[in-house]
Amino acid sequence: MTGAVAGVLYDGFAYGMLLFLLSVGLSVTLGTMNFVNLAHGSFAMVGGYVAVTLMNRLNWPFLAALPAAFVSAALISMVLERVLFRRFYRASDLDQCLLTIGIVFVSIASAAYLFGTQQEAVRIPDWLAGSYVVGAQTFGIYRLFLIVVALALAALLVGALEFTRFGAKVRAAVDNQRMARGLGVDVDRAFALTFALGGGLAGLGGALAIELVGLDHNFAFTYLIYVLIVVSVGGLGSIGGSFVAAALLGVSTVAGEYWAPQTGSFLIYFIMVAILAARPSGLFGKR
Amino acid sequence: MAGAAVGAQDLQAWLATRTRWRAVEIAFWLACLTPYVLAPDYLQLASQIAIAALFALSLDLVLGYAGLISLGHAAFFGLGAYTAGLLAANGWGEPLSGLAAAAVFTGACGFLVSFVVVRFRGLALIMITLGLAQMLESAANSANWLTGGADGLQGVAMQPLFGAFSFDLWGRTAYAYSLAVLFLVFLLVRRITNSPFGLSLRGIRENESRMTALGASNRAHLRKAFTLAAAIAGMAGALLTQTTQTASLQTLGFQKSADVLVMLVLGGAGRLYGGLLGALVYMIARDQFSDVDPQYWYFWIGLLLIAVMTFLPGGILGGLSRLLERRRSRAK
Amino acid sequence: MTEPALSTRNLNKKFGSLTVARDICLSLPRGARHALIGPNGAGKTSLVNLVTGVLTPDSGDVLLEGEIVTTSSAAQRARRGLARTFQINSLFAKLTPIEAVTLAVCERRGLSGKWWRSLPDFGEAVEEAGEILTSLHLRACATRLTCELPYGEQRLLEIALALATKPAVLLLDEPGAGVPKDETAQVFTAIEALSEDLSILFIEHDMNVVFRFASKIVVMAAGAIVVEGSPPEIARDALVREIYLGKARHG
Repeated sequence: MTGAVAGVLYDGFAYGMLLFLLSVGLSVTLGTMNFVNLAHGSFAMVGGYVAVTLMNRLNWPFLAALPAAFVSAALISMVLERVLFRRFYRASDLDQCLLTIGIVFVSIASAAYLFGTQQEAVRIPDWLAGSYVVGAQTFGIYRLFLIVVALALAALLVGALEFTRFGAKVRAAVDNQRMARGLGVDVDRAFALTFALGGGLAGLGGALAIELVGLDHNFAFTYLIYVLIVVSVGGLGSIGGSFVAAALLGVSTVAGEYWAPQTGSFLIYFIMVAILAARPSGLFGKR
Repeated sequence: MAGAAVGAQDLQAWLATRTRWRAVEIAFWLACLTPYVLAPDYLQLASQIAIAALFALSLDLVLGYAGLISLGHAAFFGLGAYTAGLLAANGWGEPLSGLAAAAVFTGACGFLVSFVVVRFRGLALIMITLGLAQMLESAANSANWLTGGADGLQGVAMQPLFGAFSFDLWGRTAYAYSLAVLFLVFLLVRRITNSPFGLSLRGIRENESRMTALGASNRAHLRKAFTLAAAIAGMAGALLTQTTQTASLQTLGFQKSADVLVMLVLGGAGRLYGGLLGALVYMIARDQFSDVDPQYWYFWIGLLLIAVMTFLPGGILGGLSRLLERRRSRAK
Repeated sequence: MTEPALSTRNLNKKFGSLTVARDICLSLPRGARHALIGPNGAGKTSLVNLVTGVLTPDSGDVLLEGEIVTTSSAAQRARRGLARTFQINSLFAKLTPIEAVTLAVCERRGLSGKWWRSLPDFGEAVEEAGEILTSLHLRACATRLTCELPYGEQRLLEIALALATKPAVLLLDEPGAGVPKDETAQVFTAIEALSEDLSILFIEHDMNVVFRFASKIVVMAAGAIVVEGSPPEIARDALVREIYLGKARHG
């Protein structure tokens, strides 16, 4: 029994780490720029499909495709931010939702058109395939890789925010935008870079997700809901909150699938509603 | 003092001009009768449009007038659909009482849920409404002994309306029935939006803290609006079941909540006719696209959403009213 | 001895290490016109927020006519006769003044639940709203959208909304703030014309206004009341001069 628990925890935590990578960018941009970007899942999808194209058509190695996924998603989010999103920073939440949902729809249709509607798969390097067997439980190495990458990135993010000049500028801009501008901080640039960073991380998540949960043209929409759960439960703008909420969601999802598959996602949503009702700004949100 | 009295009458008269029926409105409702003559093969579609319009109208109460963003409004639509369906599947096929039962039941559910929903705003509200609707969908899916699960409800048999008009494949009864219900509910909602209660709702939407400073019980007002909106959505769902003789999980799904939101925003929220117009445009467009690959549909709807949000905030009616404003100020 | 219309007992409020209210004991007798002055950041608006219920104090009480309302909600206090205006206009942008004031009147009269009859049918409420607008010289613009009104008239609408609740106590937060010079006279004439039964506490920076209207001045700094007195007393007070550090004062 404990073996099963360990297995569920391991798989769940790994899945949670994937969700963290997919969500942290949205949490940060929502918290800093107050922009409800439901198209965040599309950035992830871009990263995923870029990785697939590079690996399957151009034979790039897996480890090279990952940064490419990051960069391509970061670029696309930067372009979108500059061209479109910037005009909506003062718009209502609803307007932002609808605009970005429109982008999701377009991205899903485009993905279906360009890549078809089948599930994509990639070949991960041999040293990542396989698993450790402990007792009756198997622990996949790829999942370990995922966990390590996510933890490293989380540490880098927190470090960047706390210890670099750029991070200080972002934190200042979040605290008091007008003051920061007055002090000469290029707030627009700081936000644009933050946005790109968030999008890039989502793209990386998308590329990493292929092996774990697959990739198809609906990815942007399917994972949007999970990302929203992580972000709202974790608290906007909180990296730590996203981490905890993602881990919780990951473990709960896997646990639910393992022990109570007939309830479907009922429990997940129930827990989310309960947490939000008690703490509307999330577990680690401001206020 | 006489001056002040005349002044007040002027103001009353001015307020009255805002609430009276305009010619274009009467033309609209008369035009709704034309499908019987102009498009007799499309009456089933027309009936679906009327139902969608009713659903969008109910969301307008919540979103357009009260200012609450709900991503789970389909829950009430689905509850109404299954209520009417289960009644009919179990021997009670009389349409009007089924409709009333659905309205009462979903209204009661809406009342209970409203106590939770009106306490939140922003992302928390969006996620809570989404979560509650997903919980319902999940439960409905699991309870396939009751709902028929993914196959949908079977055995829905409707008795003829008023004992005389049966629901046939041509949709003649269906359209008249749906249109009549839509019109009557519309009259009700129109009355409400022109009343002091409607004004309070607009006040809450415009500036909640000001309303509090005026001593208003915001939550009580919002609960009322939410409950009513739920009942109306339930009626729309019941109509769908009764006119199509089936109920499926799609009536509860997130897709449905998103669709009605798009319809409302397309037409213009907070303008009474926005939902009706948006439903008309959306449903006709979807019908035209239904033979084509569904992906095309998503592409163009997505593009349309982006375009509307960028260039036409306030939807079609919003754009039209701005056009009229510009004409009026140029005339001055 | 009748109870003061509004009083507070040892109100305290801190935000982390920032103290916005320190043992505030205020007393506003019926019909009085008191001014609350102090440098930016002294805690004046926070005090108004504490009194109206927007902020909850860490300790202390707020009393309306001797009754403790500290645990009452902001809406409940408003219904009990406590009205306020906001320093930055808090209006209904897309409503017209007549609609906004009628809304306030309907809320007060308990008509806001009525959904069956049309707004114009409630003649008395509309008439009352019209009278309030007339008394503040807003009758002419009553049917224009609030967001299209000049700032001075919007400021008057702020006051109109507060008056529509038929308050016993009125808190005016910098009524002249942001109003162009040529429109301030309108605002202050309107305030001057307010009923003698109304107890008013207003926050102001403009000392001309303060000395013109107030019978008593309360000076705040760093969250605490440092001195209170009649206008001549305050004008002579060395501490006040020091607090303002050469800021324009009326002697």
